[in-house]
Amino acid sequence: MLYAIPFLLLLAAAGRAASQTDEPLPELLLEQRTARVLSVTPGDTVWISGLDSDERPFVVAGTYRRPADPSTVTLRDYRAILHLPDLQELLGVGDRVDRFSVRLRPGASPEAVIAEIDRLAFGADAFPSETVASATSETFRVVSRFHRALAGITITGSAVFLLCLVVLKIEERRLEGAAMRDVGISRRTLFLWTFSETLAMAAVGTGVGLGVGWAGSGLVNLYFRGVYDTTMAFAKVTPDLAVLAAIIGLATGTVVGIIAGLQMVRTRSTRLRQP
Amino acid sequence: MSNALSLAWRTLVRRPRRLVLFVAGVTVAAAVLLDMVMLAAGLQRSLSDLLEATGYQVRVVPKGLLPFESGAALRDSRALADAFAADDRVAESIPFWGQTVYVSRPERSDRPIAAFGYGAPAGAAPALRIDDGRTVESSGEIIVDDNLAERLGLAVGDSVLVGVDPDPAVGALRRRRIARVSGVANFTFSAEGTYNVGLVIDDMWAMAGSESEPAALLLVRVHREADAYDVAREFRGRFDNVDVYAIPEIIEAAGDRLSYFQQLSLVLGTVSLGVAFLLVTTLLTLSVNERWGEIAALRALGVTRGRMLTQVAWQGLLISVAGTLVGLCVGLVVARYLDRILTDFPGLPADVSFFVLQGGDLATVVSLLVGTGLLAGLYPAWRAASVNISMVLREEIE
Repeated sequence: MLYAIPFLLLLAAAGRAASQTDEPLPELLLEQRTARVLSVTPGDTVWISGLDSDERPFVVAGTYRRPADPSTVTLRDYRAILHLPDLQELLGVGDRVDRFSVRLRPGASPEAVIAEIDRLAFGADAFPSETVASATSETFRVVSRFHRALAGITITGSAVFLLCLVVLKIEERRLEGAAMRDVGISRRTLFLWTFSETLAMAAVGTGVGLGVGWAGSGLVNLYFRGVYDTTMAFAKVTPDLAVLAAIIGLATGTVVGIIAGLQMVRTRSTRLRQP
Repeated sequence: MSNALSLAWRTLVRRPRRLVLFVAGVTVAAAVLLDMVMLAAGLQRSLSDLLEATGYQVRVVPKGLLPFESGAALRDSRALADAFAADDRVAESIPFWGQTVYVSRPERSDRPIAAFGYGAPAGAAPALRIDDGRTVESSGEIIVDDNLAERLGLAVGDSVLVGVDPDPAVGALRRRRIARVSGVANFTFSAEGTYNVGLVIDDMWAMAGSESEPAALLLVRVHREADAYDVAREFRGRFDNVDVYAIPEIIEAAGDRLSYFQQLSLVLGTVSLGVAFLLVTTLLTLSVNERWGEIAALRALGVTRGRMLTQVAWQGLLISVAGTLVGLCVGLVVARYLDRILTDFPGLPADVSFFVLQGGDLATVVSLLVGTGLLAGLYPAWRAASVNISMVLREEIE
């Protein structure tokens, strides 16, 4: 059984001669960053101590990349993975562990098992995986709420911007509109003309925006993967997200188009011709 | 100039609905820009204020880590603290340790409550605002936060059972002691809804059964006349396996952990400036196009190019200033709303803010937007100033 040790260990410099014994040295895995800092590679020996224990030699069996976990990606702590008995012996904590993970047999009720554990072990708490996942994902719920709020502000800004452009466009076309009304073009046609033009503008803007967003997400991933030395995806344009963005963009275009269209048809032709 | 300003104003208010719409556009841009300027350095400023409030200007931490970034600790911290204290420029140097402890009322059989325990030498009160009583001044005392005092119904003078290493089978604490509550305090770095206690660090070491006198960090206070940077720089490298930071250096070292907010601020701030630029340019260009004949007539009557240029530039400036003023107010309201969302991050000290306003921020936003407004007015102003008078007048007559 392997056990991660993000704490309490001091990793000494490698290269020191291990004590002469016949027994093979215990092995460990080093996280790539830790191995890089210590300048060690698989097969090297490192010396490790706990706060209250003497240094002991371990052989680096391999290195690993920290899992792409958003909750730990910004941490810069050093990590290694040891066999559980080696770690317990090193720390002098007997048979103690921080937590157990329990896999149930198919069909077993998690609630019943949790109740049984709680009844038997008064000093321990048992939780279903969903509860643990929910508690640890609170950070991402906050980030998600923040992004939604920013999206709301961005949408408001875009809507005002689009409205400004359309209003300008209409004012620029006052004479053209008046002439069309005078030659018998109906209000309905004028409305549809303005509305469809606004909607087309919104559709093109949405398409370009999606392209920029997709390219931007690539740049974001490239940058932050370098910063945090991870394979994690920081930004992702999923099909669902693209559809949502398209719906919001087109809905904004529709609302602004209706407002613009109404403004066009509600102005009398004589007024439209006024300078 | 006053004539040009007056004419610019009257030109703008000739179409009030359009003016309102465009000011609204600049308002949104100004609000977003202010929020992003506040966000870009807000968390660093807030953390810096919290760290400064402890009164210790230098931190000594395990090499390669930031304070409390992991469970790693400094060994023989008392000797290390003494080595720092021996320097003439150092007024005080103390070890500081934190670990989970369990607290209960000794007369009750309730399960002990898990709390974050801070250990510091007797009499020291770093990162504390004492509401009642005093800090721990001798072994056997404990200072608790308001949350725990309320949960357990504790007051100064009460006794609690505090310990570590709960037995998973029966819940009893394997290493425990009775402590007397010396005070109730607000812990500066405590997160919302958590329980925190302070103990004499020797009691913490004894409870943990640790003989290596571990500390998460050393807090070093330098004399008023000494420079914390100099002290940190000189001690750096003198000891193996430790890093020494002055507070601004810690904030800088934490910078790449916070780069997300800086990048986001840069992107959204730039976009908002771009939007403001486009809005003002578009409006003024259209306005000049509409007044083509009027501008040509004015030029024919003897109004100089410079005056026309100034008048259009004033229009851009007026829109920017109006939008900026409203935008600053809106931005402050939005910043409070966004800050409420972000400060829900679990484990964050309750006193931390992401959006921190400083005088310089307002100046930055105003100068950026006014500068953008002026720049945006350049093209339409140039068009107005370079109108071909005879051609435009002939076209107007035709």
